[in-house]
Amino acid sequence: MNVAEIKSVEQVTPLLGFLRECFDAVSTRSKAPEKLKKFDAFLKLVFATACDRSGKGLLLVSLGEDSTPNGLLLAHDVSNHFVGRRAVISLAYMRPGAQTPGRIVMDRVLSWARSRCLDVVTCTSVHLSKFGQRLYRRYGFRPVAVELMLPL
Amino acid sequence: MQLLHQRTNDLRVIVIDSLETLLEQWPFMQDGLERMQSSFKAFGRVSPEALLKLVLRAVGEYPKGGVVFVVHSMNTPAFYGIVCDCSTDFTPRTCCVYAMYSSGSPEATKAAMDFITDWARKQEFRTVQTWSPRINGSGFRFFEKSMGFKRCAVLFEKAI
Repeated sequence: MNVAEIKSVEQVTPLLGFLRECFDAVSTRSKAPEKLKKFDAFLKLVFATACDRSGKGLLLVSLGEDSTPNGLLLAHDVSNHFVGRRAVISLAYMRPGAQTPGRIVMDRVLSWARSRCLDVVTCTSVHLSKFGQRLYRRYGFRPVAVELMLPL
Repeated sequence: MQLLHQRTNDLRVIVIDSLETLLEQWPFMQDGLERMQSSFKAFGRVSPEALLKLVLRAVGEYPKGGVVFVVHSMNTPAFYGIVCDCSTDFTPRTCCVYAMYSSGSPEATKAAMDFITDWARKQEFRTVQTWSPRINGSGFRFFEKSMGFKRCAVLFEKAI
């Protein structure tokens, strides 16, 4: 079990099959965000993160015992004057039954965030129930705000 | 030039589109910020300078990408809102209500929401988004019953 950081197009290309699996799993969720409902948008996000030479993007793939990919995580440094020094976890997916502990992946995210001198890491969950929030609380996250939407 | 949107005899919406108008309305905005911070612990500490930066950004993007407005009820300021474009690639055009304050007048709140939806439709936005740090019943009631929003996600944060 290992976690690999993807930093180039050459490293992404062999993962296309796994990326399609991630997309199918994430986009079919009833509450999936709009930007994750189109495969081209999803791929653009993945490639842009992998090719980001400024170091503001982090693309992690967790590997199983046979070195096959079984998890994906995308994080971005979105620091600016308005939000302060913060990173956002844009997407996290783990194949059902994967043995790689999520904590290993999360530790990599936190060490990346520390290396960039960030103050906070945030992530958004569409699970509004307390049950759905348990996963995030387990990793030390706490709910700080609720997102509200008004369709026009 | 100061733009006035007369809603009824008692309610009018003032759009801040110049430094002159901003200076006139700023005391109410700063007072609203202080009141919110003293009333709601969850709101955290936002400095007047941070609010001013946000206002200047929205005023700079007016009319296509942002708007700052104050609703006056009986010639008294009762509500303010700061709205900016927050669209991203591959998503419907979305604007975000970054800050708002109501002094407690339901009519002013209704007028403010009507103004936001009218403005957003005119600028061809598809959805209006906002974030609230008040994760409790009264916070949800305000946004869902008074303003018509629906909860769609929870933001989690971990300090490093």
